[in-house]
Amino acid sequence: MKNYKTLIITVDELWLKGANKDFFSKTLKKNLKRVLKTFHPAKFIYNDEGAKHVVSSELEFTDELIKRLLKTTGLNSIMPALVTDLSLESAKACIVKILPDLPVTAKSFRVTTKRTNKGFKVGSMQTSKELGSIVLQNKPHLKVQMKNADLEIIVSVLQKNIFISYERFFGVGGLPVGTAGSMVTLLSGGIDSPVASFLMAKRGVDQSFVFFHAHPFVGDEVVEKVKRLTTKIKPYVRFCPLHIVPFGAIQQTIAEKCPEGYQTLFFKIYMLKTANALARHLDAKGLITGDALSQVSSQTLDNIACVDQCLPGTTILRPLIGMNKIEISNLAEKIGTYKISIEPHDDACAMLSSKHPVTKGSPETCKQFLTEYPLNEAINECLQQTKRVVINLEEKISELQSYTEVDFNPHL
Amino acid sequence: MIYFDNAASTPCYLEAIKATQKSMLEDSANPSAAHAFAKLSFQKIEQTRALILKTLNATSNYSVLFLSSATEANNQVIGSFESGVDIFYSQADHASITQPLLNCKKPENLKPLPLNPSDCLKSLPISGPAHLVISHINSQTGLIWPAFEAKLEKPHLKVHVDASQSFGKYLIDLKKYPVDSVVLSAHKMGGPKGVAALVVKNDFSLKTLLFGGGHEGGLRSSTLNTPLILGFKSAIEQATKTQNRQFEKLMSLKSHMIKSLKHTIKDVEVLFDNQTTSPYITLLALPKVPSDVLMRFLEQDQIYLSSSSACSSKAQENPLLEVLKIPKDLRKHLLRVSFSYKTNAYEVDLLCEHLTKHYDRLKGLN
Repeated sequence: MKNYKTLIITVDELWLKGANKDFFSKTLKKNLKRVLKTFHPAKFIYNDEGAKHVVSSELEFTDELIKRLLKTTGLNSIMPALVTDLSLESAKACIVKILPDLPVTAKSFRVTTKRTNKGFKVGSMQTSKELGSIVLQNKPHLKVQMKNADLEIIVSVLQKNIFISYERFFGVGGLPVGTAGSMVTLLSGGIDSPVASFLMAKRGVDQSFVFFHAHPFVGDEVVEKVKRLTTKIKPYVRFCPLHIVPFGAIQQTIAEKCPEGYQTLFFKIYMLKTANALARHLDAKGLITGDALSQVSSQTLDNIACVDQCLPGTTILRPLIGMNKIEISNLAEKIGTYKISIEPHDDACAMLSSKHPVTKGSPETCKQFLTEYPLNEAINECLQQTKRVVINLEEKISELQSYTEVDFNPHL
Repeated sequence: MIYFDNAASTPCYLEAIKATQKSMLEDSANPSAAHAFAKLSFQKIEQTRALILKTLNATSNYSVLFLSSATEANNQVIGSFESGVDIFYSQADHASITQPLLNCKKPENLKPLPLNPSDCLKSLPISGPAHLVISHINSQTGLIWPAFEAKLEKPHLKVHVDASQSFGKYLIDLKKYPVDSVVLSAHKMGGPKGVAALVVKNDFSLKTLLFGGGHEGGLRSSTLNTPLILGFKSAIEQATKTQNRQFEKLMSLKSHMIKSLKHTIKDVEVLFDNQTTSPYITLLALPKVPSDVLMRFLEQDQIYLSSSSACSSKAQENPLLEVLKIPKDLRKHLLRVSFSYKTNAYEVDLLCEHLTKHYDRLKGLN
């Protein structure tokens, strides 16, 4: 790939948006500019032309940077381009310049013109034809082919310039993070939760992460693992501060008091109750979990129903609910979290849970236990002791102020 | 804070800290330099060598080499063995012995000893050239190996003893038991970290690991670390002064601890209880709670000791536990309590009390 000083960025799903188009496009611009400012070592100009954004700089954009930009949700594709004036003659001169960069392996090509600037009087078909003939003159071994050509040269006729590119890289698409509001995502250190986070980022959800640390039942190694997972998801999810909640004491209390078999289910219910109190404090709209139906005992339909009945009025999104393990694992591979997730780590459940957990929990039993042991003070206390870390774009971890002074009022 | 991980590293004697500090202030010269100022440092180091030899009751046919660690010493000694000669060793020994053997020696020459130290002597060859490489006291189990007796019974054997866990605690007499080489580690007996001594017979053909300025008779190039060596010297003086008294005290503390724990925790197991172990090291098994969990609960009370299950599944893979034939279901449940000259009855009682408290509360959870 040849590095160019201009990038054409196309926006995904914008056609669905009607009157909100501007908001979505601007949010994407804001998110991309943050990445560019961090990783591009020179000044750049960013022009938002609605469905197409144009970034140009004195310095070529590197492959690394393009890969990084492609992780920004809401971005459909990036085309590195050469830029020229709004005239057919200029475009002809420009396409000559791109010829030496074309891959030598290509045997066939086509020229596609996308004319969003209707003020440009030469039609798309004619532009393609005339530019194509220049390619043929210079590269006689190439054959014109409309379908499945080895090479597609894209000519974008925009408001001020014509852009010519021959490569197009596709991103994760969806909607820009920050357009759907924010939620709290429960991370466990396993395979599923980072994928759930990614899928919701793809639908525009800003997220805060929460990890329930069963210390002293498990060691601090798992915290490092969760930090590394957070670093991997970070490019998709913008800020995503990570909350490390000391939860061992609450899990111990639950294990001591709860009916046999209900340990894991109750751990989950109290984690969600705690996350919910945190979400209220953060003004988040709800919770995201990595549940997949019937994957483990706490994710059976009955037990999910128990959870929901215990947390009335709480929005819980479960983006993996209908997915198979292999599908989840493949996505985890794609976003780079899989290898970290499968590293073995201590699991408190082994020590604190029943060997035969209930698969058909009774909502009444759960609700009764919650009434008997609301554990509001303990929850408030563990949230106050929560460690908050934030990982910046350059993967540096810094600690945020704690919540020592906050009253979380975890009543449901 | 109460510290029961002394087998990993022992707190420095205050005197040793002061000696190190004093030397850092005074001994600025490179002890190998030719001027008079350097010779002052050199003399102090020579005095330390003499002290070590005297402490070990070694005759003039031994010399002392200073190195950075017992690991380095074990590597150098094992690296010096002639190839093709059988090497007897314990598979449960410290990694600084087993790893150089497994990595640098031919498998057909490696002869594992029986697990039980009392079967050791009779399994050694009665004639021919052979090596025995062994820790006098195993750092995990506290088991005492007949390392010195082996030389007495089988004088044809070349015997290398790692005395890291016994120097300063046990009497070592090289006149009576003329083993070929002994390693002493400073930080396991109240000296500073980063210095060890290798005591070898003069006719031991030691091979050089570090080439350079030709220090230590060309056997180990590196500027001699005067402050640490003098800290080591001070620790030896302190330890030998009270050695016998300490030994008696820790014997009784150990049996007190075991008795006390057996009384309060019905299912506690003391491993190798029927064999001779060091009073400084006790290996406990608490069947119902993983030892790393107990370790972290005790951590909250500022009591520190060592658990067998460092993280997740690693414990099951620890070859030592396999080699020691410790039952699989106990492998994640081992706690090592190791004492030092500083340990007292109050601390032992607190340990028993807190361990019992946590164990009682946690054992019912599962």
